[in-house]
Amino acid sequence: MEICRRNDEIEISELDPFLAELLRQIPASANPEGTPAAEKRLFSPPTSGTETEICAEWKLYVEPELRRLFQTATETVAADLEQLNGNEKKIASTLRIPSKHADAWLSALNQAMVFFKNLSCANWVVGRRVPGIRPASVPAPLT
Amino acid sequence: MNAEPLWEEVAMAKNVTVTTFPIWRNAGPSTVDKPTIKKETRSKENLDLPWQVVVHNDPVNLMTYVTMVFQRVFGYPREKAERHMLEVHHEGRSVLWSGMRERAELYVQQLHGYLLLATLEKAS
Repeated sequence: MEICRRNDEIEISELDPFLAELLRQIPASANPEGTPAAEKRLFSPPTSGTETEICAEWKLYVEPELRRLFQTATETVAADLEQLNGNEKKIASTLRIPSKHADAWLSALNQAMVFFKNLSCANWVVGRRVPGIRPASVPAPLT
Repeated sequence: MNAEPLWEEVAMAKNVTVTTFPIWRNAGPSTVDKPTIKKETRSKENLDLPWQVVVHNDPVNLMTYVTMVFQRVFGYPREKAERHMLEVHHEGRSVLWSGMRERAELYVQQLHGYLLLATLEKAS
């Protein structure tokens, strides 16, 4: 794998298919939906909890804005990653990221890191969470 | 004790013509009501204490990333940003800024946008 900067672009060439597949999973991994711990960390309260009025206002006005910001970042990354789709037989091995998308990449990678850090128990099959597997802290329903 | 000379006397001494307006001179006491002063009580704490932007330690973010965010959000030079980053790393928290609540809220929002664990609190 080679990383170099070319004309306002960051070029990652000779990408290993496994690494390419990992990169392709970033947008899905950054989505905290269904993982309350990750959701709680991504949208943490602005105070230590004593200022309830500020927290309520935050939830109403700031949280949706942050949600949009995170979503825009993952969408930008997903669009860049489409270069790796290649054809059915072969995944393309070069990824060109415009320098102006660097912040979106930082955000999406960080979101994914937050997600993994807060994942206490989940099962993954080729980068996808298996539905029905819940974090250890959530008890299974009694049958 | 010498009384101060009237301004008309001074003018005469300096040979200056003075026009007087008797109505002004004989004006009675002012009829404007005294302003009513309302007392508003606010605790000293509310008035004086600034709000602090506190960043908490977080095992997710890389040290270089945190330094970069401090530089971007607060415009701090690299050395100062690194000092705060290390304080967060070693002490668990660092006060990055203090001042008006609105600005503190804006800073916390920006820090959350960069996925840093930040809160605002009243200075104690």
